[in-house]
Amino acid sequence: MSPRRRRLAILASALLAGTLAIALLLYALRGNLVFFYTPSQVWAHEAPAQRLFRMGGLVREGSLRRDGLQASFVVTDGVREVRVRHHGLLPDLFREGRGVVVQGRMGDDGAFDAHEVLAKHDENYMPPPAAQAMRAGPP
Amino acid sequence: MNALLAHASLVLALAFALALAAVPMAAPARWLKLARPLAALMGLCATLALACLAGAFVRNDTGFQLVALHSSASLPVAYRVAGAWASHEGSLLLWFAALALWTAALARSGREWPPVLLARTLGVLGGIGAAFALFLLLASDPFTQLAQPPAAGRDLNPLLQHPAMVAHPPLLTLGYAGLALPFALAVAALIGGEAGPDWARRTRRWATLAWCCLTLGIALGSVWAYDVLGWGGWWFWDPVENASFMPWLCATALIHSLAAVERRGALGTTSLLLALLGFGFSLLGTFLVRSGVLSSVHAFANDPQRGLALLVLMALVVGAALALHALRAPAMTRSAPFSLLSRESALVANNVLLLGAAIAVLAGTLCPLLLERLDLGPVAVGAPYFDAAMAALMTPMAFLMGIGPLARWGRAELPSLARRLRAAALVSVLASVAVAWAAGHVGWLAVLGIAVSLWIASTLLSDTLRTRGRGARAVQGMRIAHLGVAVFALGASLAKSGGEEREVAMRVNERATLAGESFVLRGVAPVAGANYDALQAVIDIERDGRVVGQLQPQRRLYRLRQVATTEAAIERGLVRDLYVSLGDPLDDGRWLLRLQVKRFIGWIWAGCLLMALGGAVAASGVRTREPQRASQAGEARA
Amino acid sequence: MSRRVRAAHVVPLATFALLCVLLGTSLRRSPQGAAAPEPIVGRSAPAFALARLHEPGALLQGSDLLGQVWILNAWASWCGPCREELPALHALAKAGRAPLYGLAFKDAPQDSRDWLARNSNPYVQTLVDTQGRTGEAFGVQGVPVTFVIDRDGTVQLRHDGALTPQVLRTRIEPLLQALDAPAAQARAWSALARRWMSQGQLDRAVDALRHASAAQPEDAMLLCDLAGVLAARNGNRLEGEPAALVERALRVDPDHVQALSLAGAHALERGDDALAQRHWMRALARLDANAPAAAMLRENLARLRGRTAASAQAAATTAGSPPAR
Repeated sequence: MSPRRRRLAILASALLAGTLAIALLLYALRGNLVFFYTPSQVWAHEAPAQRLFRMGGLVREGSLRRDGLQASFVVTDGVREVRVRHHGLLPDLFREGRGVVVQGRMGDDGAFDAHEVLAKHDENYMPPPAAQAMRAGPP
Repeated sequence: MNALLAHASLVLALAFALALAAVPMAAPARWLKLARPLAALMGLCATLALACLAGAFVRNDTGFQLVALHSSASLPVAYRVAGAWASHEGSLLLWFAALALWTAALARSGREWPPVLLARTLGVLGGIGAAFALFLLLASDPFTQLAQPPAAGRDLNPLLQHPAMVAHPPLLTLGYAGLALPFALAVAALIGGEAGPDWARRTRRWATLAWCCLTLGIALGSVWAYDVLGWGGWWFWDPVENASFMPWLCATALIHSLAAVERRGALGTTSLLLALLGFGFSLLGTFLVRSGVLSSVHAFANDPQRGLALLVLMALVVGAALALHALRAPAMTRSAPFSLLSRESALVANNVLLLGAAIAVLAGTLCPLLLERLDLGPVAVGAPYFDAAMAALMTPMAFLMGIGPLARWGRAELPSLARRLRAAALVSVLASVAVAWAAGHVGWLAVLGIAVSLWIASTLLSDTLRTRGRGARAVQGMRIAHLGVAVFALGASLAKSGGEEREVAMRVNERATLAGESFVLRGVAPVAGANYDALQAVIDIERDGRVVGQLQPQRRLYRLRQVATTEAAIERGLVRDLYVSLGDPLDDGRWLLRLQVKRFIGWIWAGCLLMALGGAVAASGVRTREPQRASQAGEARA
Repeated sequence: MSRRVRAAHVVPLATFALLCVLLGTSLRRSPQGAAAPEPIVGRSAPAFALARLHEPGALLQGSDLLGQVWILNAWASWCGPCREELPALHALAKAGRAPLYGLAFKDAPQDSRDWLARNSNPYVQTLVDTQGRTGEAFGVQGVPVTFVIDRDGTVQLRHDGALTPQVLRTRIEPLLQALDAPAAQARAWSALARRWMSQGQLDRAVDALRHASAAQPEDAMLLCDLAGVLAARNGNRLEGEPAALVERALRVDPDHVQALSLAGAHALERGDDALAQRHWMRALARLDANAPAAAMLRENLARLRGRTAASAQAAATTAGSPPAR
C-alpha cells in the first residue's frame, strides 16, 4: 500500500472507530441520566414511572417515622408533598425542616422508594449537643 | 505587621513574575541570563507569602479573616496548617506557591540548557504565575484583615480534619501546577520550532514528577473519602474528583508519548498537544471547582465573578497555546515511519485510549451543564456511565500494556511477539478461570479485573525474566508503575464486586454477623475530643468465641461549628476491611449500625503508591547533564 | 517556516473554544440550588460581620446582638417601597420593644447615607452590605424585608414587602410580646447558653442560664443546667452554689432525673456513697431500662458497689477497724 493510501486507510478507520465510540458514549450517557423533579411535578405524574429519578424539597417537620431500619418522611415544596420510604441509616445532615434530595423510584402505592438520601450541607444548623445523653427521654 | 509582610511578598512575587515573563522578549541576549535569578526570587517570595499565611494559622492570629473563618485555638496544630488551604483564597495561594516552586526548581536544573530555551520556558511560567498573583491580589486576597478580630475562630470544617486531608491539597496542587512545566516547555518548543529527543528528555522528567504528585494527591483524596464520608465508597465520579482525574489521564498519555519522542523522534506533535492539553485540563479543573458552575459536595464557595476571571485566564493561556500549536506544529520535524505493529503504534493507540477516557469523563461531567443550557432541567449523570466508559477503554489499554513494552521500536515481528506473550496469556486466562470457579458466584467485573491484572503482571514478569531484571531507570520505573496498575486493577475490581453490607438495629450485648464475622455491641458512651464531643460505640469482633478486635465508631458534634459528623471505625486487613458506622438511636434503646465488609480496598492505594514510586524512579533516571554536541547545536539553531 | 495549517490541528483549538463558550454562558446564570429555597424562619440567623454605615472602620457582628430580641430591616436607596414604610419603622423604633437595625442591601454606602439624611433615620445602626452576601444568606432577594430575631439568634419572623401599621399590629407586636413571655425567654436564653457552652464561653453561658432561670424560677431542668455549668467552670466541683441549685430543683420536683443524678454526684464528691446510691437508684427507677442514660447510671452504680465492696474487703483485712463512713 502506498503511503498515501495507507494514511487514508488509517484516517478512515480512525473516523469509523471515533464515530462508533461517540455513539456508544452517547448511548451510555443517555441511559444514565438521572432527572430531577419537584414534589409538585411528581404529584402531577410528570416523573417517569419505572425509571430512577431524583426529587428535592424540604422534609416536613414532624413527618419522620422510624420502624427499626425502615424510615419514612414527607418531602414538600410548599405546594404538594410526597411520602418517601428509605431503608437504613440516614445521612448526618438529614433533619426535619431541612432541604433534601432523594434518588430512587416511585413505588406502586404512590410513595417514593429512596435508594439514596442526599442531605444538603448547611453551616448554620445547631443540633442538640451529644453531651445531653444524661437527659431522660427525647428532648 | 504580618499582613504587611505577607502582602509585600505577594506583590514582590508578582513583580518578579512579570519581569520573568518579559525576559525572553528582551533584545540584548545577555539579559536572558536574568531568567534564572528572577525565577528563584519569584519562588522565594511566593513561598514566603504562603509561609506567612500558614504562620498566621499556627499562631491562631484571628486578625486574618481566613484564620477566623477556618481555624480555632482548640484545633490541633496539623489541622491548623491544613486550614490555610481550606478556603478558596488559601488554596489559590498554595497553587501560586507550587507553581513558583516548580519554576525555581526548573531554573536550577536548567543551568546547562540553551539559554533561549530556558528563558522562553521560564518566561511562559512567569506569565502564568503573574496572572495567578494578579488574580490573588485583586480578587482573592488571602490576607484580608478583620478590624475587630473575634475572640475565637470558627474552627475548620470537620470533614477536613483528617490526616489525609492535610497532605491531599498540597500534593494535588503540586500536580496541577507541575503540569505547567511541560506546558511551558511545549510552548517554548513551538516558538523555537523544534521538539526533538532533547526536548522530550527534559520534558519527561518534569512531566513524570508532576504526574507522581497528582497520583499521590488523587489517592489521598480517595483515602479521605473512604475514611470520612462514612459510606465505604472511595470514588464517586463527583465533578471535583473528575476535575483531578482528567489531567491525570492526559499526563499519563504525555509521559508515554514522550518516550517515543525521546527514543525515535516520533509522536512529536502529539506530545506537544498532550503537554498543552494536560495543563489545560489542570486549569479547567481549577475553574470547575471554584466557579459554581457545577454543584458538588467538595466545591469551594460559589462566586461567578471569580469563575469568570479564571475562565478568561484559562481561555487566554490555553487558547493562545493551542493556536500556536495549530500554526507551528505541522511544520515541525517528522520522524522515521513506523509499521502498524510496533511500539510506536502501541503508544499511539495508548494515547488515543487515554485521551478518549479523558474526553469521556469530561463529557459526563459537563453533560448536566449542557442539558441545563438547553432547558432540559437539572440532571445528574449516574456512576454507571463512568464505570462503563472506563471499563470499555481501560481493558484494551491493559492489553496494550502487556504488548507495548515487549514490542520493538519501528517494526515488531508478530511471531516473536506472540511467542513472548503466549506464556503470559495462558497464565492469565487459566488463573482467572480458576479463581472464578473457586470463588463461586463472582461477577464479570471481578473476573475481568483479575484477568487484566494477571495479564499485566505476567507480561511484566516475562519481560523482567527475559532481560534478567536489567534495564535503564526509565524501564525499571515503568515496571514498578505497571505493577502498580495491576495491583490497582485487582483491588478496584474486587472491591467493587466483592463487598457485603448490612444495616442493623442492635441492643447492647446483641450480636450481628456478616460474611463470617461476628460483631457484638458492647455499649455506647459519650467521649470528648480536642474540639468535639462524641457518642462512641464499642463493638467487639469475635471469631470462634474469642474477641479478636474492637471497633469504636463515633457520632461527633464539633463544638464551635455545631456540625455533626459520622466517624466510621475501620479494621484494616490485607484482603478485607471491616467497616462500621454508627447511626441514630431508636426509641426502644436499640442503635442503628451499618456493618460492611470491604474486600481488597487497601490494594487500590497500594497500587497508586507503586505507580507513584515507579514514576519517581523513572524521573530520577533522566539524564540531566547535557550532552555537549546537542547543546551546541541547540544554541546554533536558537 | 511553512504556513500550512492542517485541518486536524485546528480541531483541538476549535473544541476548546466551544468549551469556553459553554462554560462562560453557564456562569452568567446565578448559582443553582437543586432543592426549594429554605425558609429562614425557625433557623439560626446567619453569622455576619459588617461595617457600620455611620462609623466606617467599626464592625458589627451577629454575635454582638445575642441576648436580646432585635429587628432587622433590609432596604436600599434604590427601592421605592422602602420610603413608604418609614412611618411604620419609626413607630416600631419609638415603641422601643426591640432595637431596629437596618441592612443597606446592595447599595453604595454614600447613596445609603444620602438617602437616610434626606429621609430621616429610624435605625439604631445601619449595616453596610454592598455585595448583598449577608442579605442573601438571610434569604433576601428583593427589598424591603423585615426579620425579627430572638435572643438566641433564631429568626422568628420574616415579612416581605413594606411594613404597614396593620402588619405591626397583627404580626410584629404580638410576636414581640410572645417572645417576652417567661417561657419563651427561658427557652431562648437556654438555647443561647448551649451555644456559648459549645464555644467554651462558660461565663456567658452562666449569665444566659441565670437569665433563663430568672424567667422561670420553678423549672428544675434550668436549675440543673445552671448547676452543671457552674460546676464545669469550677473544675467539675458541685460544692457551693451548684449543690444549692440542685437542692432547689429537687424541692420543685423530687423525682427529676437530672437533679437526682447531680445530687448523687454531689454526694459522691462529699464521700457519702450511700446517699449517692439512693439518689441514683431513685433516678433509675424513673427511666426506661433501655435509655442510654439508664445504662450510664447502672454503670456508675456498679462502680460504686464495686468500690464499696473493695473498701469493705480492705477494711476487713486490716486489723478489724470499721470502714470509714
